[in-house]
Amino acid sequence: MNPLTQSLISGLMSGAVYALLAVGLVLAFHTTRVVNLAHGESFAIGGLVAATLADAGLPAYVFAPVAIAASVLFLLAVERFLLRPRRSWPIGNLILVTLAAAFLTRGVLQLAMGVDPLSFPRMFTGAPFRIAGGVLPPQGLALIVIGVTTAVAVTLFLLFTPLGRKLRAVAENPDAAELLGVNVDRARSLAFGIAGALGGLSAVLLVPLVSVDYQAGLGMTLRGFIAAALGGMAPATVILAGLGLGLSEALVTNYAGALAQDPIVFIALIAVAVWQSRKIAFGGTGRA
Amino acid sequence: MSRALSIGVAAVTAVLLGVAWLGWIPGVTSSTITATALRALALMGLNLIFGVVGMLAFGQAAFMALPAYFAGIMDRMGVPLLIALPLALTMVVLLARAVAEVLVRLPGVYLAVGTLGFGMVVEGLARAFPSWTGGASGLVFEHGRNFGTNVWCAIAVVSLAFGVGCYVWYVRGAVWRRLRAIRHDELAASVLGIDVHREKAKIFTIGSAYSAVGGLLLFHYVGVLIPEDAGVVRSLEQIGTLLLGGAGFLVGPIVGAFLVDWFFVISGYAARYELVIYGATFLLVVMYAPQGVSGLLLRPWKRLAGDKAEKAPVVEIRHSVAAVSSDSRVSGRPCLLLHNVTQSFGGVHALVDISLDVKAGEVFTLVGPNGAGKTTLFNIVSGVLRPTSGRTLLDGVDITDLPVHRRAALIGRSFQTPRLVPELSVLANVVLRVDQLSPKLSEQARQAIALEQLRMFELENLSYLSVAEVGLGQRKLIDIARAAVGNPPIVLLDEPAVGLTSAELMHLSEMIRKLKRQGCAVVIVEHNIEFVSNIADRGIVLDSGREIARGTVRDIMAEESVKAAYFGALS
Amino acid sequence: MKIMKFAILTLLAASTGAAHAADPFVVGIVAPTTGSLTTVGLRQLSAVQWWEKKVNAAGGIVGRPVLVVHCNDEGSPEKSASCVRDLISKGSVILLNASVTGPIRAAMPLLQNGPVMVTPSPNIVPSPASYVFQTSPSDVDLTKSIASFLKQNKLDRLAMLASTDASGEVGVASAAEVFPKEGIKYDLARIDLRANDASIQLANIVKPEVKVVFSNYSGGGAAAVVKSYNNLSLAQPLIVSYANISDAFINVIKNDLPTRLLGTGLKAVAPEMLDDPARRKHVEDFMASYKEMTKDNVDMLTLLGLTLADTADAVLRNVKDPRDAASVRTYLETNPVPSIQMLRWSKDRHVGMTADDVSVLEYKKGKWVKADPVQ
Repeated sequence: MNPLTQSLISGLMSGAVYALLAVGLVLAFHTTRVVNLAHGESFAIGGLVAATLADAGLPAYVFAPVAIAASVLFLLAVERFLLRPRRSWPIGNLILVTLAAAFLTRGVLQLAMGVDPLSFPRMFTGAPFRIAGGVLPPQGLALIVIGVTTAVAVTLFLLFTPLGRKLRAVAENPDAAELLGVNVDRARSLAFGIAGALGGLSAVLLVPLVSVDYQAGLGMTLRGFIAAALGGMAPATVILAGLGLGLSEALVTNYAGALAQDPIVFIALIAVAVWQSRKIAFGGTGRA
Repeated sequence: MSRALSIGVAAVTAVLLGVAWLGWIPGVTSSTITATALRALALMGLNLIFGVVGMLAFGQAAFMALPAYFAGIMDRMGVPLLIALPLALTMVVLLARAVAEVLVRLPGVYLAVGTLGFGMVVEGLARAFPSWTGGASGLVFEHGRNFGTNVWCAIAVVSLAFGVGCYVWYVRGAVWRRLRAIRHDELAASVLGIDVHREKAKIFTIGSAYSAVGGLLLFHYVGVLIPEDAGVVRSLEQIGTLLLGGAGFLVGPIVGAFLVDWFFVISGYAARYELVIYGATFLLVVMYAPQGVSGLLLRPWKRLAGDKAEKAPVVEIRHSVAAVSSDSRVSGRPCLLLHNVTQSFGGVHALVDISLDVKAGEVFTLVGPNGAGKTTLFNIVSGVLRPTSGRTLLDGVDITDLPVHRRAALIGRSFQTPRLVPELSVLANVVLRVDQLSPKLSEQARQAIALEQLRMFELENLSYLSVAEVGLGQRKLIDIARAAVGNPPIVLLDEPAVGLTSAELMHLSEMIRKLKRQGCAVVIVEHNIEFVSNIADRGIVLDSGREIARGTVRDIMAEESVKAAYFGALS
Repeated sequence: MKIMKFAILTLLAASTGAAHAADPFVVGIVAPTTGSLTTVGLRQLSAVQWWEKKVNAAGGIVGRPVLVVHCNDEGSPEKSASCVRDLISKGSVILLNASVTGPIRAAMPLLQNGPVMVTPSPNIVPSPASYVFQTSPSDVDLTKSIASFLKQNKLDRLAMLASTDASGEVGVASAAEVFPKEGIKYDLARIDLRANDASIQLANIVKPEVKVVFSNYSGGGAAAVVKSYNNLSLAQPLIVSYANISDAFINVIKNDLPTRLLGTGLKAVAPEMLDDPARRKHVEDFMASYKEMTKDNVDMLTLLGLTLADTADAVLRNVKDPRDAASVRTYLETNPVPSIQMLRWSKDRHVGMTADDVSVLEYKKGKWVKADPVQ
């Protein structure tokens, strides 16, 4: 085995997960200005629902769509019942509402699904691919390909379709968008729905390779948030940021060891945050 | 919140602590009080940084853990405790100062990322060097065992009381107003003359010092420190605790720490429903009591007490008004000069080669359709933007490179939508400006000057109302009166007449004339042509960042190109 | 406090229907029932609660009921210290600690004057002068059992994976102490707790000449190690750590079982390996009764919970005044406590088991049994 090739493969796998989570966070951020801290719960819900249904003997073509649907419903509910009635609230308070939603979801999942970690069978099985001394299981390939393709597709949709442009108009100025005939509520529902689908999809793709439990949500939110922040919360760059983060973590682990990972990666993160915000003054209101 | 009220609540808390200590509250013992008091002390730092100033600091747990790590490492090296503790604190405060220098400039979410990253780095380093830090198994502190439970309880409560005392002494009057102004609107705060970055760095350092003292004592009391104690999860928990207690309130950290600890002690009886109850409580608090439990408790009290505390008797010190007024100026002397100013954002030119001369004692107007570059020009004059090329001169001095807050004494600016701090009274909003112009005067003198300013503009009857109780038109007049405090050579008014009733319009005209008589150069952006024609002397017409006409108001209003560009755009 | 106690007593009296409430023995237990160590805490707590019900149903101990008071430390040292103070103030005659390294270490200094605290964490090696007793073998003992397994199979190479948490750190230290002495060469890689995948680490340490791989990673995240193992189609037997000998863990990896899954476990996990028929009966009775009461299977963590309960049971039955911490300590130092295996403490050693109590087990057909030799 070649450790370098294996690092690149492993880095792409976790990078694809980072990218999927980050795109979901960015979608919500761009329509509501809210960093949705309950985003990772869509991963936990998707993973736990899929695992429970798989344990009940249902096949993948049943449990995967149902799990994704559960994630979609969850984030739609967060938008509809928690955020929409509080549109006029300061952003900071809304972020805290999503944090509270995450805490409550965690508690409910503990009661409903138990505390033990769960997993379910892979959808993509068969002999692993061997590339230049590295090994990639079919499920890992699916994770990279489906993950990155979906993230890119959502980005293209945002940038180049009339509906995507409407979503972004909502982000820039909700009142103006409303005047231009965009239904802001519907746009936000759509954004949260897609974000939920991405969260559920990442669970369906990743969980067979690891495990999921009731408290997985906040950790996943944190991963997505780090990638999203690295990418400046912009839809196209967060995918690169996610992949870059995954690859750099893998390479640091390979060359410097797992203990060096956090200090090195997070010092880089601080440097990027400082560099990215060098021109923004006054809490982002510099162009007043 | 007024100081008297804070002290009152602190006293009630002290009594409650006493009651708790006697064992009258189920689940509370002197050892829980020790932990609660030390955590509350550390939380007071987060309260300053996040609750009062509004900085999203996601790494305060690291500032609690760091001094304990430093002290523990020094202890292993044989440094005596009495040297190690103060040295560890000093090191952390210096480190916080350095971190603040880098991070407080970051806006909102980026500050969150930066501080979160800092916490992760500290956690990671603590894990990576077990021979120094004890690693993941934890660093053990032996010295704490030398004190009994009651000694620790006394240390904790005295430290907390000392922390509260310092807070009450420091965060009041001008400091409180300044911090709330920054929290509400950083741009408006800097235009008033507040050095926003310096203030934020200072608060970040002071807040981290609170976290450091609290953490240092807490971990010596607990006896073990593990890397997770420095990490992001603990920092998030702290934010949750603070919100529950009431962010921004003096007693918020104490109430929050007590409730969480108490919940923790009694939650054994909730068994597996614990997380659901915690989540539901937290959700209810953020949705229905965003001011936390302190806010809920203080609301009826506040209603009873009114805001009497703020109506402290104001000593009349009329002569001190002169102390902030600049020398009386000779009308007609050139005051503001712009030389060939160009501003571009990326490839877009917002202003192209604009030159201006505004004389003392005249009203100068900027005319043009939306997007003409008027607000950009205001931003350049007030220092919010640095022009791509060209110079700005004031009274013959080049101020192009002077930061916003340092030119605030020379330039008063009102905004299109008035940017007053909503939770302060009208008077306090004006005092906020006096605070910056004459920081050396006593609180009473500054209040007197602010009152005098409101009186001069016939707004004194609004002085003790809260901003929310005042109509939009009146808020705009207050904003202008505030901008004019100290009689600055230049006053910039951004669409002052929009949204005013006809009575308020007359009031506004009178105010502007008064400014003119006092020798201020008034620069005004306004769409109300009738109003502008009546009040302004000269002006310049801008379209897409370029000058298309200039001269007396009568002349420029007659220009065909102006009619086309300006009235065309309006209709 | 009095109100609380009164409430507890009233509840107890009502539930047992006793005419007069005898003063109960209060047994405090610290166990993380939320947070990342939920499984560890809940399984052990559940075993201790099984004991409480069983003892009280049989009329208590010397006529007095047992009251188990649980405190959730969430796996945090600070909360753990609060828990221990709280449980002491509630009158616990003996403390059980089902938490992990950091929190247990935070609790230990609070016991300068007792009461006795019992914990099953192999990472803790209490000072013989303290009031702390450990019911498992030490981590060094567990590592020795791997070394002797390798020697029996005439192997001198090992690849070892350890997490970046406390058990990983202790494991790394034990490996450095044990393996070189036994002439075993080992390659070590650490894995971050957030990692989705262990393939980088495995690619670095599993060289062709390595015949056995040991993963010291405990808890749910360890699933990623087993799954990566499968992804890389590695054929070497994989030894997992002490805390992973659980149904929950097998359930997570059941779709990705390696060719041979081994683990360092207590012999009681495979009762047929116990030489003493009394011990075997004790374990088998527990397995049956526990299953009947909770509808759940017994695994290593539940058995460790039972060692806590058995120790408390022995103390309450045999020590004249269990409130006197010094006599409890003397009792435990001088009398072996029969549990799933014999717990043998002494004046010089507060660790209850040794390397002899541990065996390398193998997971075969849904059961842990004695491991077959490695080719």
